[in-house]
Amino acid sequence: MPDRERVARTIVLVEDKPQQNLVRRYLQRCRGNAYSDRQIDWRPLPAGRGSGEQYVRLEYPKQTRSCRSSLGKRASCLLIVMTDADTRETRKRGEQLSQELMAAEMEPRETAEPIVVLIPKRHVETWIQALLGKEVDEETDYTRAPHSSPSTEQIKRAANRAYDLTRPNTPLDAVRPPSLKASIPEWTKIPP
Amino acid sequence: MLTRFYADNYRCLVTFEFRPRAKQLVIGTNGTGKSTALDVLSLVRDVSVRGLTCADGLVGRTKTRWQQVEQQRFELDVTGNDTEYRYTLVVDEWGSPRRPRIKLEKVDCGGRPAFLFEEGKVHLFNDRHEDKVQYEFDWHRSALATIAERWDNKKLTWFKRWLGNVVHVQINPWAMSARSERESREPTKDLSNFADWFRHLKLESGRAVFEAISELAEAIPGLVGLEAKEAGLDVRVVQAEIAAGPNVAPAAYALHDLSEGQRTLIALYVLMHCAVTRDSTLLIDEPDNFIALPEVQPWLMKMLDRTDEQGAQVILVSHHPELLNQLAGQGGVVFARPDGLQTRAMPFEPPGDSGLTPAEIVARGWERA
Repeated sequence: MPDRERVARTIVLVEDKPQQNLVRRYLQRCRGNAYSDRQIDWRPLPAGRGSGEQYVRLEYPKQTRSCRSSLGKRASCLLIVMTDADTRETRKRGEQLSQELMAAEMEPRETAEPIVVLIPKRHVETWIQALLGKEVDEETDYTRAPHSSPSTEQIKRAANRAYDLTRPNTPLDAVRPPSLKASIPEWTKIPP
Repeated sequence: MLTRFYADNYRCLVTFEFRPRAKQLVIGTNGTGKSTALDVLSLVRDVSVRGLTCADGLVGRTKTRWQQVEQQRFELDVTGNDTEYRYTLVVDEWGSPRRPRIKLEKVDCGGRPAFLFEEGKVHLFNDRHEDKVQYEFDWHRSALATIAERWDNKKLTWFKRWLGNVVHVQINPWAMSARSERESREPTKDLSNFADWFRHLKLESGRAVFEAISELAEAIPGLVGLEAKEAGLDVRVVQAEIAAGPNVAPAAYALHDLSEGQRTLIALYVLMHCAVTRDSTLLIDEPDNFIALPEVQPWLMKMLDRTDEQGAQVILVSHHPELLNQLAGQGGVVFARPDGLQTRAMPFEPPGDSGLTPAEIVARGWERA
């Protein structure tokens, strides 16, 4: 039964475990009973503290090239990338990624291309707190005390909320913080 | 959950301390004591819960060869049951001829005594830590192993149950027999009793087995069932039912008819569903042996999810790039013998400026540079 063989159709490139968990729970919510780890390739999590942003930036052209290749197209590949904006502007972080493509002599990412770029500001923990209904701002570092790291159950709830936000006709006026609101069109590129 | 493990004077483990996380990857080059550490954990379990005598695996030839120290000491710190436990076992050789004996065995709960066996005398404490009963006992074996659960020793017996449920495997598919003549509550390290264990699980953990088979159906194309079929008086044979195609009736294949990789996959998914339960600790030495590369990550991701969901603990020893890349950067521990002598457990914390994956760093040996 070749249809059961593993074919990775979604490639996920993230900086760290909390990002991986949020994307993973989101995909599980999207695909429900059809979710299968066999269709997802989780790219390595980087080694060393504070290296995630650099790792994603350097890996982005390679993974984009693989998805644009004939092999990637044959597998109907979707690339999901997440990188924290940290203290920079979200737009600047996106530009940095684009520059990496240019430096690799590759075409810029097109809107319709199956490449999802998610840039939480300040960190993914900011988004998780916001999705759990808490008042957040994009300057506070929610990865540090007194803020505790989110539990698996909280990440699952946050992912479910993110999924709800991507459903058609969902009012987005009240969505905060701005980086989360701006990311909704990217999330919606992930097939529900 | 095991929060600290200490061993002294056991092979290459000298004043060795290891503080594992809930999801712990252990890496290190060959001969650095990774498997030894897991072995000694299960040995302590076998002595202290399953009644193995000291002579069956402690002191004697297991003492560290390059030093002349008589005592072996082991400590386990465990968190669970809303309590911090510390189990201490000290073994030496005594008498003429010299024979291994337990010099000290004790369990403390929250820093207060729950059990003490010292110089041949047992002190049983109740849940209020009152020393209620004392008696003499054979010091060639663990006295803890003989303690039964009572209404007033729930704290102690929780610990004993936890230790008894520690599962340690190093899957050897060639040893996995299809034939079972009895049930077994625990798997052996090499899973040679897999059929006996599976027979027990089918009766006691039917739902977990069903879930394991459902997920195995994705990893082994065409698999529709896994059964322990009758094959004579008290004999059963574990067999997989596999359909060769979408419109082909399933055929039965005994475990030994399957490939080594398929047997390993069966073992891994059954372990994931039946040995990763609330408060359990599962130790797997090189889970990635024998299985195809595309199977490693799906199993690993499911295993990590299940560990989270069950509040369990899993300690994996591996050299596989997939495991390194997913786990090493998240609190991985490197076992090393820097001076060629005793093993040391060190955090895997390379500087973040190399742009390399954890597997690439380890392949270059740069984690030791």
